[in-house]
Amino acid sequence: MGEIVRVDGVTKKFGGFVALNRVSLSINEFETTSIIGPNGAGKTTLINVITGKLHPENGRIYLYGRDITGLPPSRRVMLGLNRTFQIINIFQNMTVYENILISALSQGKDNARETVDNVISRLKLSEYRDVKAFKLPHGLQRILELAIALATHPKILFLDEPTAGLNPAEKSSITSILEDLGSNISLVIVEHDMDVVFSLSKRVIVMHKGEVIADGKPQEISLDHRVKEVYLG
Amino acid sequence: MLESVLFQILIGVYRSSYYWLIASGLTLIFGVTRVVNFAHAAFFVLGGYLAFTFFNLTGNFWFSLAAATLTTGLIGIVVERLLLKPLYRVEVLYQLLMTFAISLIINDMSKIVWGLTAQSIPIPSWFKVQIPIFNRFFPAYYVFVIGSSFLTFILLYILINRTMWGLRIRATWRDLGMAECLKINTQRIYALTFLLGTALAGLGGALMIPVSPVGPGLGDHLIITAFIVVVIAGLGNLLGTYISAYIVGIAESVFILFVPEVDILLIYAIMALILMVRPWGLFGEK
Amino acid sequence: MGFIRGKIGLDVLTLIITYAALISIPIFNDRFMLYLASLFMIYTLFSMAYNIMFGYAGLLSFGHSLFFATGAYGTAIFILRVFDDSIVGLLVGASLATGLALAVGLLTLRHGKIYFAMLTLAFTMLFYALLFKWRSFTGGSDGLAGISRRCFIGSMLQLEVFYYFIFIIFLVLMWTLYVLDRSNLGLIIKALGSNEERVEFSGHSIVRYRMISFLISGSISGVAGSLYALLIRVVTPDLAYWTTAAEPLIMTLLGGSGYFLGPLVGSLIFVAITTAVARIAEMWQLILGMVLISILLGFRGGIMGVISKVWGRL
Repeated sequence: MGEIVRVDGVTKKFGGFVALNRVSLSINEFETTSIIGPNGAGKTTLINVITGKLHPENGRIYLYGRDITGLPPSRRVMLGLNRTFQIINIFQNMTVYENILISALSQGKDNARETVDNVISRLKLSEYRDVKAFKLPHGLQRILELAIALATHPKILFLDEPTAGLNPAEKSSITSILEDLGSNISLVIVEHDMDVVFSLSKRVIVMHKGEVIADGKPQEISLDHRVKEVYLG
Repeated sequence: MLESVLFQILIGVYRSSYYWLIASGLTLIFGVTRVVNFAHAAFFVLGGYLAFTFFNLTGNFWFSLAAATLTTGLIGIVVERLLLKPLYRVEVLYQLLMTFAISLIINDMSKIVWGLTAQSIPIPSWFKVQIPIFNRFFPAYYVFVIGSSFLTFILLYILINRTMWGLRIRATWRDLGMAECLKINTQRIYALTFLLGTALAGLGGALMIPVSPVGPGLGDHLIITAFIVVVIAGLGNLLGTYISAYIVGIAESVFILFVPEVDILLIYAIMALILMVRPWGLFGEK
Repeated sequence: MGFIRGKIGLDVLTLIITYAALISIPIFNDRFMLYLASLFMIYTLFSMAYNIMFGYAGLLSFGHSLFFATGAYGTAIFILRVFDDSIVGLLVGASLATGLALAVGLLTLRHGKIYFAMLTLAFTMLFYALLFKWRSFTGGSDGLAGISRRCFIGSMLQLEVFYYFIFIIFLVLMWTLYVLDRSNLGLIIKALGSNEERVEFSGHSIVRYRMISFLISGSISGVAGSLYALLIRVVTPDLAYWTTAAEPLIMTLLGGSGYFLGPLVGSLIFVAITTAVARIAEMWQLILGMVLISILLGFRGGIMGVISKVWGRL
C-alpha cells in the first residue's frame, strides 16, 4: 500500500489565528483513515487546503508524489482527488440526474451518461432520478453529494462529516456505502460520530489546535491519554 | 505656464470637493449596508434641485443649503426603509437593482417637478468676490465649497471615530453578525447610514447649484466619477476616500489642460487598471 | 439566481408561435409595426445574449453595451469606409465583438463578481470615451450616419426587405440558443450560476466556462448591435454608455432571468412600454422604474415567474 497523499509542513493562518501549524502527514492507499478532534481543531481547514479550496501560507501537498499545491480544485479533481462538504453543497435547483451528469461530464462527454447511470444504481438513487435536489430529504442529499463526487472517478475521497444531521437509519445506510467504497477508493473521513469512526477506519488521526496529536490504529487511539484529555479536559 | 498648471490644480481641488461629497456617502453606505447605491448621484442632483426650490421660497441661501441637505437625507431614509429594507434578506444583487430603479424614478420625477431645463440660483453676494491668484481670478465661492467639503470630512471623521454612534457604525461595517450579537440595533444603523450618506450627496448638489446649473442627465455622468473615486480608494477608509477624491479631481483637471483629447479616456483607464491590478484600491484592505 | 426552468414543449411552442407572429407582420403593411418588430427582435437577441451571463452563469455585467457598440460601429465603419455590403459588415461587426469579448474576458473573468461588474462598467465607459473623442475615426459625438443596406441580392433599403434579413438571423440565433440551453454545455453554464464551488469540485474550470459564456454572450450582443446599426442607419457613442447595458438587464428581469424565454418576454414588454409611454409622455424611465420596483419587491421571477405560478395552480 503506497502513499497517495502527502501533506508537508502546511501552515494556514486566518489573520492572526493559526488554523494549521506545520502539519505533516501521509495518507496511504486503501487505508480508510478518519480525522477526529474537537471543534476548531483544523480538520475542515486541512481538507480545504488539501483539496485546493484554501491556499496555505507554507508547506506543500503531494498527490502520488506530484506537487499539487498550486493547482486549482478542478485540476485536482481531474487528477483523482475529490471531496464532500460539511454543509451540503449541491445544485439545489437541478434534478439528481443533472447534478451527477455535471460531474460526469468532466471525465469526458462520451461515457458521461453511462457513468451517471452506474452511480445512480450503485447508490440506489434510481427512483429519484428526475427529482429536484431541493426536494430530497437531508439523508438523500448527502448521498447525492457523494454521488456527485463519485462521478469524477476519484482515487481518493475526502468526506467532511458525511453523517452530520442524519438519523440512525440514514447513518447506517451511508456507512455501509462507505464500507463498500473503501475497497477501491481511498477514503479520508472527518467525523464526530465515534461509532462510524471505529467501524470504518483502519487508522485514526487526532487533531487539536491546528496540530496532529495522535495517529494510529483505532484501538490505540481510544486508549491514548492525550486524546482523552483533549476531549474531556 | 507654471501658473496655468497651479491654477488648474486649484480648479481640480475645487471639483474634488464635490467628488468627496458624493463618494463619502457612497462608500459609507456600501461599507455598512453592502448596498451599491446606484441612485447616489441622483441624490446629489436632488439636493441641487431642492436648494433651488427652497431658495425660490425663502430667498435665503443658508437656509436653502441646510434645508436641501436635510430633506435629501430624509428622502434617502424613507427610500431605504420602504424599498431596500424588504430586500436585505435577499441576494445583494437585488438591492443594487433596486437602487438602479430608484435612480430611474428620481430622474424622471425631477423632470416632472423641475422641468427639463437646468436650474440655478444666484451666488450669495458676499461670495461674489474673485480672488487673484496665479495670474487669474479664483472665485471666493469656490473657496467656500472647498472649505465646506473639508469641514464635512472633519465632522464625519469625528462622528465615525470618536462617538458612540460612530462606534456602532464601525461595528456594523466590520461584522454584521457580531454587531447584532452585541445588541446593536443594526436596522437603525442602516437607516442612519443612509440618512447621512444621502445628506452628504444632497449637500454637494446644493453647494453646486449656484455656480453650475443642475439639470437632467447630470446624475448618469456623476455616478461614474463617484464609482471611480470609490474604486481607487478602496473601501474601509474615510481618509482614503478623501484623498482619492482629490487624486481624481486634480488628475482630471490636469489632463484637461495637457491632454484634452484623451482626458476622460485616461480616467477610465486608470479605474480599469486599478481594478485589475489592485482591486482593493489604494487604501482599502485586502 | 441561475437556474433556468422550462418544459421542452412550452419553449418550442412559444418560439414557433413567435416566429409565426413575426413572419406575418409584413401583411399589415404598417411600416411602424415593422420597425417595432425589428426592434423587438434586436432587443430580444441582446437580452438573450445578456442572460447567458446573468441568468445562466450568474455574473452581473454592466459592460454589454461594449459589445453592442462594437458590433454597431464595426459594421458602420466597415460599410462606410471599406466595403458596402451588409452581410460582410455584420460579420465584421460580430467578429470584432467576439474578439473584444476574448480580450476583455481574459482581463476580467478571473476576479470576483463585484469587481467583474465594476470592471465591465469601466471598460464600456472607456470605449464610450474612445468613440466620443476619436472624431476622425468614429465621428465623435455626432457619430456616423448614412449606413446603407446593400448586399449581394441588391439593396435592402426598403424596410420590408430588410425585415426578412433580421428575421432570418433572429430565427437562426434563437434556435442556436435553444440548442445551447438543452445541451451539456448549457447545463454546465447554468451550474455556474447555481453553485460555482460545486462546479469547481465537479472537475470544471470556472474561468474556462465563464469565458465560453462570455464569448457567446459577447458575439450575439455584437450581432444585435450590427443589426441595430443597419436598422437605424446611424451610430452614436451613447450606444456604449453604461445605460445601454442596463436595458438588457431590465428586459431580462422583467421577463424572468430564470427562464429560457424570459428575455424574449421582457423585450416584448419593454418595447411595448417605451413605445406606448413615449406616445403619451416622456415618462418611460419613471414607469420602468416603478415596474422594476414591483418586480423586485414581489415578482423576482419576472413575468415568466408569475405565469409559471399561475400555470401551476390551474
